[in-house]
Amino acid sequence: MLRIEDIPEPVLTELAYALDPSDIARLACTCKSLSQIYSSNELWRSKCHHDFGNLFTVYQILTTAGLELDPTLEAKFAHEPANWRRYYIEKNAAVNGSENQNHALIEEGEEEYKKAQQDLQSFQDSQDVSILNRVASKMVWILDVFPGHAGCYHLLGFILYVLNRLEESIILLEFGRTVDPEYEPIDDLEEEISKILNGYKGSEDEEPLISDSNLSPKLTQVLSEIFDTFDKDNDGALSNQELGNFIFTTNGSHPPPQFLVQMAQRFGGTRRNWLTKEGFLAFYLEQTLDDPSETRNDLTVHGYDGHTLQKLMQE
Amino acid sequence: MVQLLSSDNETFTVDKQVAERSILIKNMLEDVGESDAPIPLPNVTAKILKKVIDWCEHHRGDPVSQQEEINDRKRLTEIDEWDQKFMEVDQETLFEIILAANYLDIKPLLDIGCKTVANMIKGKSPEEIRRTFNIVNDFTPEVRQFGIISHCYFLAMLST
Repeated sequence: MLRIEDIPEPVLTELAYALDPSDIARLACTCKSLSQIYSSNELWRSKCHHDFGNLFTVYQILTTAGLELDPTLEAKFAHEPANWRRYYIEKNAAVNGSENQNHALIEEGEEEYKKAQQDLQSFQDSQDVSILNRVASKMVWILDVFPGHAGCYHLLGFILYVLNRLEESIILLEFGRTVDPEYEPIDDLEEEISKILNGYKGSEDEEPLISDSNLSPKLTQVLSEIFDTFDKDNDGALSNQELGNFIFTTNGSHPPPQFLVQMAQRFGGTRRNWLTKEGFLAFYLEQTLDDPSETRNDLTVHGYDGHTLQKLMQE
Repeated sequence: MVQLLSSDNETFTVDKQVAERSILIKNMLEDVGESDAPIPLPNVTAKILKKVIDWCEHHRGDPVSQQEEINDRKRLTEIDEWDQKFMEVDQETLFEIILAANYLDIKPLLDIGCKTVANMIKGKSPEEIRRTFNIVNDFTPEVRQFGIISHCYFLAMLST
């Protein structure tokens, strides 16, 4: 007989999304296994994100992108709470309290939102970055009180787009989609950004270098072949001399010994600080994400077509 | 048409559109491409698979994502009439439908299942919940005492 205690944890977490906190608390009092799940910090963390969004991640993404947010937001969202259940209770009281008693707050929020839209338009003329800081801070402030405001996620996504933080922009747009799947401006902006991101993957007659934010299978294969050519003793790692030869062939200059060791330490090496194949691939992942054209150039030097990644016939 | 094979080896033939309400099946079809071979679903019995297919048939025309009112907390446990009738089954079947919806990745069905269970829990005391679901109270007496204290403390915090 299948019982509620036998249901796997992810499904019990889904159940928590449909319950009020007091019901979860009572459910946690029924037996040991349910108590463990429904009192856990992890469950309350998920419930918080589900009901109130994840403004800690939003804050981190925005500040990492170089935005300077209002200091009051740093105090609130720079660090995740240690006790998510307590955080939920406080947040729940704040959000629901404001919902019931304060129509003025809703109007204020809407007005701020409209003003923010106008501010962003003025940014297109003035290019004054402080406008972005101000608008971003306001959006986080509104989301703190009205977690379901998809428009705020859209404007934050737009700000990141302006700052050329495309991947991060997509993340925030996805947050907005969870909140309101039908909010069309999010779809439009995401489509535009996806078009640009696809540009990184190379034009139509080019073999992609990156797939799923990793090296594409074809590029991995080609780089492995190049690695093996320089790994003269076939020990799966490039000794300082082997790596030196590779870099000389690629760039035309001999790197200082220090650099070779650092490369192995940074990307992955053996105990003797010789660069392993994994390390070699990790280096190329970083370079390719940073500047795909440089990787295509490197391949040309080593006898491959930089566009199709095919081996060229040697004359 | 797509063929689905239950864990107890019963084959069901359904419209592709209906089967693709399951994201698991949708992805499988995309990976495999057109094929006449039945798709094996080793985690779902024929009895439950039939129920799930009924649900998918009824909801075949639904938009992929249904609009939810922003901040409307009352809708949290609202279920439409047909779905309510659909979920009038014994507890074990209900749980099995939920597990199948989770396995087959049919989010709206999982939501309705969870809401149905949530409605059986709402407002009940721990003892009433135990009776509803035949849960054995396996706390030691000391923990029971402590559990009640922390429970009261928690409820008090909620109501402030």
